[in-house]
Amino acid sequence: MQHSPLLMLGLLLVSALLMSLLASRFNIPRIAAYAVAGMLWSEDLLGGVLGLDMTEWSQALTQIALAIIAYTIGGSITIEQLRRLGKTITFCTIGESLGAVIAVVFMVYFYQQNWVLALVLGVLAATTAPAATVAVIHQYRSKGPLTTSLLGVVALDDILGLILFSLMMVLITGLDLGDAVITSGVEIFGGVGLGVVIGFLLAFFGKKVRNQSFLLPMVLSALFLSQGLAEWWHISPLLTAITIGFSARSVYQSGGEHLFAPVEYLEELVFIIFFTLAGAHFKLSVFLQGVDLVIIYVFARVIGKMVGIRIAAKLSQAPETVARYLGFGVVPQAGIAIGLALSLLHRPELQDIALLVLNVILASTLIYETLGPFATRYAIVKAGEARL
Amino acid sequence: MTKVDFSDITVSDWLASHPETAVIVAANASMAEVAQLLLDNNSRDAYILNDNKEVIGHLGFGKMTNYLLSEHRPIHTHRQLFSRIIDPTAEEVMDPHFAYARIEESLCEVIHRQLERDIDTLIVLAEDNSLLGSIKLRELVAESLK
Repeated sequence: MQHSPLLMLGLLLVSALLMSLLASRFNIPRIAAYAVAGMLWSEDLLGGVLGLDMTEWSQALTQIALAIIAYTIGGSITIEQLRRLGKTITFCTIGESLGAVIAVVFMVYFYQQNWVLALVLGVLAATTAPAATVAVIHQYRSKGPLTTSLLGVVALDDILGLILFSLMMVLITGLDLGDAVITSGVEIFGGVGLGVVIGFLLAFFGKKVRNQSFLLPMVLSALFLSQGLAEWWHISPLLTAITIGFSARSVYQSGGEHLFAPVEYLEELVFIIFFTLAGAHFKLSVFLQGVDLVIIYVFARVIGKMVGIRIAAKLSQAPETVARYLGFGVVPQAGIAIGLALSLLHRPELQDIALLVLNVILASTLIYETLGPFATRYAIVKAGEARL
Repeated sequence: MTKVDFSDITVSDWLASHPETAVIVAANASMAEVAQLLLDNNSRDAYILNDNKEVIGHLGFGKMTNYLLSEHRPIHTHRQLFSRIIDPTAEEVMDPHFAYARIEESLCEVIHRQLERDIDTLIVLAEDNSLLGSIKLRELVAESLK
């Protein structure tokens, strides 16, 4: 039976909001509620009974939602701010991100003997979820070197994670086409070039706009256009969106309220879409096939991040509390990883592994979001920065 | 309905009868310094001056507070996270595309701008962007009631 995409999207969103209201009464993380709401409409449950197919129409939605996130993250920092972040945050971000990537790639490859699967899961391991970390820091009124480093690292590693994912996708597409160097070059530099041009134009016209209510439509129009052009010209849509954000912020020169705050209001909607769609793609048979992979991913990512931070902290001569406890604070993982995993469903070259990856990431996200806040609390308490 | 016809009054006339200035801060001032100046002058608008004494941006009380008290908010975007740990200067946070008035304009043009941008203290700039004075919304309201 053919169902309207709008009806399916409406059902997903309404059930997610109702479920999150219920979850808040029992102190259950709202993202778990969103995911469970999505699962209700999966093939194994109501989706199968009613014959709903979410995959076909969700591609454009996932792509524009990811572009919105990439744009806001790309515009979250300027070069000057990046310079002032300091050695500890920069080194620890690179250390924990690459540590997680390397650990997951090798552990998954060792277990599954599949380089593409290992590479995709490895790159997805880089990102974290700042929301859970910020909430714990706020709850315990934490202050000090560990807290500052933690806030910087959980924000910065998402930028690195998005860039690594874009590069990984370029590499996989290039290998598939058999002309890796040229294709990769076009995808990367084309994406950055298009992003710079659109970002510059966005900032230029943003300065001209007097009526504040035009800003959101203007940014969304630019993002829609950029994603369409990126698809048409076979260049990286994510790199394009990140670069638009970064260059628009640099050219506009301010705290970014005008070009970014209106779009940031959409973040919760984007995450509801990510989690419900991911939940709707939950498949028990695929999950059971990947349970061992979930366990490997969860442990390898945490170990990789901890080892990476220890090495980076030593290199940057970070305070002992940072070296010892920062790793516990970067455990949570949520929306961005889910969104990136969702985007794989529409890549023909990854059809064999996309659903498995999404189910692994969804399950591990639920684990991380449950255990992550305890790990963060442990870190700030042991570092003596929490007010108990 | 106001009893005063603001279209007959130029900014120049207004400044002559209402000589007001604005809160001016240096480009490298911290949020705490901006906050202190705004409190001391009982104002909601600070203007940022560069080394050439040109006004280069506007910083409102609400925006400043968002940065100054950010640690008390449980939810941050990535942009807010970076700002929180970097301790931004006034120049980094200000709005460089701010509203201002020129001396030859009529007050009715200026009032629309002031209400549209929700600015209590609108500055009046000379051709070289140096500060000539300011128009306070409070005084415009008082004048309109006369």
